[in-house]
Amino acid sequence: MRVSKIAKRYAKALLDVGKEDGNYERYGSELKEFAKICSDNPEFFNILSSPVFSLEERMKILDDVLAKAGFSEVINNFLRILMERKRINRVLEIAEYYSFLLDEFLGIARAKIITAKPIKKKTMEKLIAALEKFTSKKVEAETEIDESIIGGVVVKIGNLILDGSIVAQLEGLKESLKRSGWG
Amino acid sequence: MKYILTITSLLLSFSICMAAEEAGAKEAAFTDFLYRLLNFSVMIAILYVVAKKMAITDFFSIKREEIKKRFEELQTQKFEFEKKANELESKLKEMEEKKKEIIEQFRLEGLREKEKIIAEAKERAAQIMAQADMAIQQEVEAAKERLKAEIVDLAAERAKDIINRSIREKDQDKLVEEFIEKVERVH
Repeated sequence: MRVSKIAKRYAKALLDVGKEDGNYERYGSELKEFAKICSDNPEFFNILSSPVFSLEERMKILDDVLAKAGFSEVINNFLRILMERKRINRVLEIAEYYSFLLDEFLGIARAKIITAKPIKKKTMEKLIAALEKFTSKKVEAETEIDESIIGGVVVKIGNLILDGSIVAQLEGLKESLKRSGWG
Repeated sequence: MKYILTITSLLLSFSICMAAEEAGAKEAAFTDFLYRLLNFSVMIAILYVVAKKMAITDFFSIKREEIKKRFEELQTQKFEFEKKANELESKLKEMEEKKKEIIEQFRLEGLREKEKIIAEAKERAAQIMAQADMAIQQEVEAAKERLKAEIVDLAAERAKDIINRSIREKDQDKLVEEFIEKVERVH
């Protein structure tokens, strides 16, 4: 997802508040939760973003949701400010960038580990340890099974992809044969 | 000359008249008259002849002069015309020469042009042949590449099927181990 300058500015501001009071992780999870509510309920999100409804009407709906969600006062106020300043439509970007900033701050690298079949716990731990050594960050891994890779492993960390799958090796072999003077 | 003869004739007539007067004054009055008359007639005749002769001579003389002059003029004109004709003839010859030169020049230029066109056509033909050779070569190479790619794709697909069927858990573990080693080596 491309993050706008506006979203970056709001995310940084919220993180600064979190750093001051030490609740940056809580704010991150609450913001992520609100973003999930929005993405899971597009009608609700459209109403919040739509200028067809008055600000008072939209603010009332938001307050009702926030009351049920039980978020911290900082997050409630942050979302109200976004609503007042007509930036609530950027909340998904803000949540994503906040997560990125928080990971940077905490030295966390989020990795997606894709394998054709589930791997042993011990091997997984060894792999995570290698990745932590590689990134010099704490790796929080998310696993995925994809049989199309046949075997081996694919790791995605941000924009970085480490492809150790059989499919990738076969593709490499194929390209090397095509490029070589074979034939 | 004509005038001298005329004056001499008149004086002679005059002397004859004077002599007749001296010979007999009386009795010869009639004879004198006849002589006078004869004298006068002769004089008139002489005058007439002389006058006539002089006029005809003059006429012919003038005419002859005119004809001579005219002849001279015509001669001059003839000379001029001949000169002109000669000039025109030489010019005509020059033009003929010039014409021949021009025709020859055009012929030579035509030959040169013909040779140039033939040379260019040969060169162009050689270029076309070279291009055709190159195109054929490229096409052959491209066909080879396509065939090679197809063979490699088929071989890869076949290898994928074989590996997919034959891969075991220990193979997967080994692959992951190798991957971990590689990641550690990169660091």
